[in-house]
Amino acid sequence: MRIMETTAGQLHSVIIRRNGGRGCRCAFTLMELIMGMIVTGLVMAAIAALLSAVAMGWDQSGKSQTNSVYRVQTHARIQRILKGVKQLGAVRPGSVNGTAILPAGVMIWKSDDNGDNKVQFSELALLVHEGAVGTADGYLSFYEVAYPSSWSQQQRTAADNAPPVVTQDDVYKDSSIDTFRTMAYVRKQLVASNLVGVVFTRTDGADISRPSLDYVLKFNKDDDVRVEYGTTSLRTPTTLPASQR
Amino acid sequence: MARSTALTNLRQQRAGKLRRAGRRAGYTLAESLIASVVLAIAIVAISGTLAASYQQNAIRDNTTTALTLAQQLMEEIAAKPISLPSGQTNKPGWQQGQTDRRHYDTIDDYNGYADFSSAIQAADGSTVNLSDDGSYQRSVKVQSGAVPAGLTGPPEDFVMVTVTVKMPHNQSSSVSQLITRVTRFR
Repeated sequence: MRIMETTAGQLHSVIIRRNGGRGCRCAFTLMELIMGMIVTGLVMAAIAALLSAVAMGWDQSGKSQTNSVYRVQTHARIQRILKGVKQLGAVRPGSVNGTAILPAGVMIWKSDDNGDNKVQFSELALLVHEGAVGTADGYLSFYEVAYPSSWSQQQRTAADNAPPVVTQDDVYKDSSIDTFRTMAYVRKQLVASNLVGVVFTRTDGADISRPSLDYVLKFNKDDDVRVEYGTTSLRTPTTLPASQR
Repeated sequence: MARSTALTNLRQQRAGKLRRAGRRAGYTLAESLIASVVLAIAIVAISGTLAASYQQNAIRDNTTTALTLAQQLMEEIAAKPISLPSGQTNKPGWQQGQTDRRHYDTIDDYNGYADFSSAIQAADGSTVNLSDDGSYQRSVKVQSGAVPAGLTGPPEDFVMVTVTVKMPHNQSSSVSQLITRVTRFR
């Protein structure tokens, strides 16, 4: 009995010590609670503002990165198209703000498929700025001839020689830029969009220089206006059509 | 009576204990300072990480722009011959005072060439401003007779071209290309 009384007394002492020796728990007063809630609210607002700023920064960074990749991809596509072609033909310069009457375009002799040193219709291609030129809805398109894959060589040759016959000098005619894209079997691929303006300049002055296309592209993507400048020189053994020699 | 006095004394002692025990315990100045320092260190660490992340993004964008600029000039240079055929007069290059790239006709004309992204001359003679996110400076070094190890041939048939672009944040990127003499089929 004595031992039990002693143990109960020790336990009571422990409980009192845990309560700070007071024997009762203290709660916040109303004023303390309000102050605590205000301070907590301020801290939460500050953290929310910080996180919001970080999120906006990430969003902006993501857009910037996307646009950067998009522009680099456009350079790569233009170079992929032009590096392997045989010759550059007629060039319309266009303008960087899209204000030129005629948008930029360049006729291309892709390759001499049959090795006759003459330009056939199916060997032509076109790179042209079109759409709502001068706005962010302008785009760069690549046109080329695509006959049905089931066609024989004879059918392809017949189609090349069918009216309207494309002579080998047509690749150097400015009017070809408009007529080529409306002809049968000519298909279109999108190279780049959000292009306000495009400038093309062909450099092929000296006999010993490779033909090059100098281009300026003005993008407006997500209100991020950027001007890009590039040059592509032809890598294949370049040959003028027989009529141009 | 004595019993009543003893009870009064006991009550007074208990009230004194409660008063002492009822005194609220706050943080000391040292504790508050330590807490503030820990919080400040945490905020600085987080801010430093975020700042580094943004700076890294900026450097990556700058490097992309720099490489595009370098690639443009390299393509232009690679389109030119190492030397002209006999009988043709070599036009002056950068070292001879010609600053207009449109008149360069051989690769070595570009040796020492430099320009700024705020005013790059395009092939049509117009000036293009590409300094949207800072200023870039391009420079060209042309090293003749750069025969790679393991290859044999006339030294004059090998030219090493290096285009260096200085970017914002005091960084730079270089693109090098070995150009050899080729025959142009006609």
